[in-house]
Amino acid sequence: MKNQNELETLLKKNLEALKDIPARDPRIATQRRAQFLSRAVSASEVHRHKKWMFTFRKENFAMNLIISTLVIAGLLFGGGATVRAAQDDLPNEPLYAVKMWSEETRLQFQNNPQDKVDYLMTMAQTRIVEMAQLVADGEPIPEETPILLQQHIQQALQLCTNTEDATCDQTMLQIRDRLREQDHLMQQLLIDAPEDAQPTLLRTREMLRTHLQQVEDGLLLGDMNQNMIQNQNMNGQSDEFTLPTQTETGTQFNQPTEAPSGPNESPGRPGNSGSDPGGGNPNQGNGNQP
Amino acid sequence: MPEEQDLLQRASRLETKALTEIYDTYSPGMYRYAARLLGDSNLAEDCVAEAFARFLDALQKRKGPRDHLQAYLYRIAHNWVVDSYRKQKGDVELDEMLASGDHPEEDAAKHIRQTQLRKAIKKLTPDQQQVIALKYLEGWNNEEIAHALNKPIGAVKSIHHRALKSLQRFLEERVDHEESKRVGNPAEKEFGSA
Repeated sequence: MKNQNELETLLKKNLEALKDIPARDPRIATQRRAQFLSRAVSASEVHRHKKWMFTFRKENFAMNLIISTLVIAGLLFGGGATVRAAQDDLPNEPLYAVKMWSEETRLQFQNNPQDKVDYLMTMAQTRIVEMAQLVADGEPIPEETPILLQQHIQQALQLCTNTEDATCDQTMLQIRDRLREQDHLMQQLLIDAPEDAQPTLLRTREMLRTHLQQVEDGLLLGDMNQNMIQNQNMNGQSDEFTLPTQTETGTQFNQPTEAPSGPNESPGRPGNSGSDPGGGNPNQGNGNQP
Repeated sequence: MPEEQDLLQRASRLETKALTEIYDTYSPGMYRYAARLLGDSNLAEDCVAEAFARFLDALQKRKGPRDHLQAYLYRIAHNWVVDSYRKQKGDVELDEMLASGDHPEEDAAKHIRQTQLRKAIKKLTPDQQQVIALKYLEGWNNEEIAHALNKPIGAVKSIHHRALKSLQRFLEERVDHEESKRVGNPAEKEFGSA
């Protein structure tokens, strides 16, 4: 029988073989991370709600009156606990209406068109994050979500047309960057999304890329920002949005008139590497997004 | 340590940012640990996911750890590994490793060595498995292992000693057994001589 030191040396040598393991699949790792974060967010939300309910039960009528006043004030100014709690809610959750209402209210409080555009693009980003979270939870994406996303973008573009030329260019650049970011997020989402969510996500991405194309074309031509978007809005792409119609392939929401004629036609321009919003192989993402 | 305390306090309040930080800090190491013991990347991913799910459940029930977070997480992961060992009827095959290598003979030899080692480790008691894995695969010291096992350092030393003896016996038995039915596989010969 060997002594402990000899045994340890021998064992260490043998166990070296176990240290070599297959590389972690980044896609699976990202998916699992997203699932944990999704659970963490809901746990956090439940925790906040419980605390809130506990506070309500404990207090007497007078106190409730004070709290109610505070809640109303909170709702009005967007800083209340309920509003904060609602910020993480998804379209299929109870406080989602509060979240939408608080977003709209905040939008109204933006002082100038540029701030409004910025906030609208943030709202658009929020819709994409909601879609990502729904996909991670294995929940269906409600048809309203991509419509809202499109509304936010079109409202932002519309606002841009009402600003002065110099400011408009700057705002357009801002919109372009946000659209690129959103397109990239959508690209990542498509990689991991289950089959039943793919049609909605594909159409959403196509819509994003169409708008991106409009903005890039507008920036290239220099003087066409307002004309092009105004023309499109006059041709039926105005602020009035129709609810999607059900087609054989799923939900169809309204598309801009210059949208590609077929599903295989890419709205991106060939050869413009800087503006390619993630065309080509959808598996080329960095895997950092859920 | 104060940083870990702060992180744990925030996690106990279920702050998403703290939970994300914990996941990003510890999940890669836990995956590595589970993959080494299980020899299967999918099972290792399941192990990490389940360990973090249990951690979150514990936090929600206010039964989460107050200190030594890493030791706590590895303990949950190891419990999952032990459960998985119990459920496995046959041996885990490392087809993915065999299929992916550029040197099939070396890969096959490595695969056999790894399978034999895992079989030997599986025969140990759960505490012995954890001591061996944390000490030799992860490089933890006795104090850290003691936290993971929730036992005093003296007990860890004793478990370690018994684990070494058992492991040696299992490996020798294995070599004898393989020797008797060996058909000239160089990998087995190499292992037997170690």
